[in-house]
Amino acid sequence: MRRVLAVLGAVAMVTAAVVIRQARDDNGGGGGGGSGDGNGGSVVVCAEDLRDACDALGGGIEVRVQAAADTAGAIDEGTLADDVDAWITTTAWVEVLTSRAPDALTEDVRPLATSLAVVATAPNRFEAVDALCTGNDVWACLGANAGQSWGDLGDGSHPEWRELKVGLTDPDSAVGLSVLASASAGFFGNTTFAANDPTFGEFEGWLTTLAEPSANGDPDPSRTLATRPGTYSAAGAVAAVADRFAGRGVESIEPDTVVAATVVVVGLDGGGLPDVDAARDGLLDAGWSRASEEDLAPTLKPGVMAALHTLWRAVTS
Amino acid sequence: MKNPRPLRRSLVALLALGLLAAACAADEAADEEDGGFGDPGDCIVADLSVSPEKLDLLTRLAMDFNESDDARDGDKCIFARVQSKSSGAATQLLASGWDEQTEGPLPVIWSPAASTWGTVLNQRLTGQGDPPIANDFTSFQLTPLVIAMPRPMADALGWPEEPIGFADILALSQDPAGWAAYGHPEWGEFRLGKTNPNFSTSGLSALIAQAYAANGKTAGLSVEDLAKPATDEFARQIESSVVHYGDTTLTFMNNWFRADQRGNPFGYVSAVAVEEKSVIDYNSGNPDGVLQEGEEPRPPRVPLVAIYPEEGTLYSDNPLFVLDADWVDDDEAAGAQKFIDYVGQPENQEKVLRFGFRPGNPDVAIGAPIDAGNGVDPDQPQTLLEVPEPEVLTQLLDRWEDQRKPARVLLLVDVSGSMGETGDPDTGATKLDLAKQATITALDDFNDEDEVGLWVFTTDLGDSSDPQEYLELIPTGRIGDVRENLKSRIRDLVPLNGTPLYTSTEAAYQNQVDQFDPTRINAVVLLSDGVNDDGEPDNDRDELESLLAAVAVDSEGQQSQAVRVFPISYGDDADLATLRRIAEASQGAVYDSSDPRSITKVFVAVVSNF
Repeated sequence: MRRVLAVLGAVAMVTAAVVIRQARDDNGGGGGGGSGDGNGGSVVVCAEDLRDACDALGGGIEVRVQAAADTAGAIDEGTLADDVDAWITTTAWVEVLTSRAPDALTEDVRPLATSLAVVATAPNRFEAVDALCTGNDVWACLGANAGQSWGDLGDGSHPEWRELKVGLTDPDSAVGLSVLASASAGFFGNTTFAANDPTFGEFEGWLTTLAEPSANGDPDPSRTLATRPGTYSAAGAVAAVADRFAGRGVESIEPDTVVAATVVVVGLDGGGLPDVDAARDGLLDAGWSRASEEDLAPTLKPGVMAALHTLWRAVTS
Repeated sequence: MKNPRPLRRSLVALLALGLLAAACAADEAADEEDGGFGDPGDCIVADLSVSPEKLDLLTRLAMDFNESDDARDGDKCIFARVQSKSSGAATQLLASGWDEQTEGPLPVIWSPAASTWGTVLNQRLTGQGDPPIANDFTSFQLTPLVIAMPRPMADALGWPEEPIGFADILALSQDPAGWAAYGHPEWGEFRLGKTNPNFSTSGLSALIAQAYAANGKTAGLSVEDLAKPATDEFARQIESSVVHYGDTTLTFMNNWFRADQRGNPFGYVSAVAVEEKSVIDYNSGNPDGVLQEGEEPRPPRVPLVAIYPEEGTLYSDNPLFVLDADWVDDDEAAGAQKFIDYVGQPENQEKVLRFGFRPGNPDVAIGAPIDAGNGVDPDQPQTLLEVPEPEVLTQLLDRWEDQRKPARVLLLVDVSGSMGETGDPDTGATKLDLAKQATITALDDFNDEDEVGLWVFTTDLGDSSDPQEYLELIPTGRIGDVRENLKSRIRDLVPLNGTPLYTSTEAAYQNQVDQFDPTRINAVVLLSDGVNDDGEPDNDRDELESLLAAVAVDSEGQQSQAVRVFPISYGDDADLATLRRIAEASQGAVYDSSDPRSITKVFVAVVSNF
């Protein structure tokens, strides 16, 4: 109850909606790096799980890789290095910082790429998960059945799978927080729930059970599905990532309540955005879709994304 | 609970802190050579220490890397160089001090069989006030723990339709009818092969899986679970069916393969806890995974199948750690990362697959040789087990010391004149001096309830009117009662005359057969530094044939009273080839201590069988 009150308090403190805009159109590139001299000398902090895309950045951009949660924490606490010009992350983290440190971000935000949050299924388990969850949002279904024996689920024909375990991408990552938002939206059946929703206490218990198998932090549970069969029956992911593992038998189910992870570059010094088109192109090559300004719309109500991250920390500690 | 043996207890404590003792002999040979890598020149050297089962693979990958453009970084070049070190031994060395003179270069990249060892190492380091050094890693290949079984035996249990697990193994091991309960009385009793969990990743994984099976869990194994009487009883009953332990699964696979080639793979063991890759190697006709020069794969008469325990299993995830250690500079770390990136490339992950491992890069689809044709199933395992918390692991190993099958061992020590030759030029110690110290140290490695005896052999022993070729100094008995007496008699040994190797070994072997105890691992540990020399060379061949025939007869029958012989080939002049034949005939294993200074380590490896 005390935790719920704390969340309510946090939400109450948030009064401003997320105001983000596209600083430049895609073709215009970033131009005007932090140094004011093209990209020369620009410093970009890149979320760790987006490292592959950031590795494509050149042209004098210095890339520093860090977990999105760590960067957000540093921005919130004012300890991020002064020379950082921009941050490549997801809108989920922009929402968190808009709540926690509304003055810390500039209005320079440019969408790069987007991908739907999905439930990836383990090799040979798509049909069983799909049959189990038909008629329900897949996340609501998985959360309700997590921890139960497969011998008691569905037609009971797979007791050898033991308990239903679901992997959740570490919400300290850029994509992971979007996946957590997707799972949460599945529980509530919408993206408009608030942290003082009457069922939030029930949600906390639901999330605790769901999170248990990956409570120690799995950076990419869809990869785990592909490389370590038997770990989970299903896992949260974005479609672009999960699709990579189709060759290993990983398939995807789209939740009824749609949430997307949108990768953005966020200005931090007010000097404009560096040209990170190469990172965007890397994402597109990896199966992400080109993002538009519409994709910058907040995923959840103000403050809720931050509340979810706080709750995750609490239930997995 | 009985008191664990002192050294074993210390081993457990070390593992609890992350330490596992002892290297296997195979590691040492590789350590002393450059493995054919040659001179790195001015390149940045990224030294790798890897577990033995992937030495061949990583050596090939490193050599290919060194020749590739991936090893160039501007005007710099990177040179990857591989040496083999068992996971437990490397953990110990990294925690307690790595002597480059004897152990080879300090690694920049460390690749034990499983990332669990990294956790163990870090715990030990932090426990002694040092920072952790095995942090981020890339898992470049995986292979699950399975129960390997000859296909006809698996068929008899209902495989593959019926799921099989440790509970079935337990039931079978406790059934007085043995395989007769499944319509095959000719297979005798159920016999299990398991390696020593203090040394071997497979042994440790099997021990974890057993404990989970006993508690019906797949995660969250607790110290309270281990303390349950039912858990203890489950473990004791499983262990009671073990034929012997050991530091490497390759001993089992080689012995099994030889038994198969002789036409009977059913009498040595019924099942062995191994990695999936070992089943593939075996069925490919390459039971130890390494084809020596001139060898060609020869498929077994009876293939093995991999049973994925229905209660769940664990992966050996083969991490590549770039060590965060003070001996690794930035250039070396960057070079190491380039090698890791290279290993992860799809074309190189295809090579990983060809070696029977599951590629860590999911972009590479799993295919042959991981297929039904090799007795394995790429869709398995269905359930994974969570690696227990370190304190649970500690308890698990501590309790295993008390639960494992007890041993009945006769030490047969060569005290021929050549044992008086110098064994360590630096100290002037003789070979016998070194052997005595190693044997005395090894005595502490037995449980109080183990039974150990001591014989020595040389010509012209005892009364000159009736000279003997061997003498019983201490009859085989409970070592808790005779340990100090054994040590005292060993200290008093002196080098004497000839080397009646064959007759003495046969007598010692027969003594153990005569006193065979089916509730124990029955064995002879033979230490010898020379060829047979009893003054009568004309009958050497007959004596050897007599010995080999006796040993083979008793070890292969379905109702056999199997006494394993574990010879230690000691010094440059020892008859390694003959000792190997004796070991193989008894389905034991030979240990090479050609450098007498290695005898202490080798003895530890030998005693890991018990």
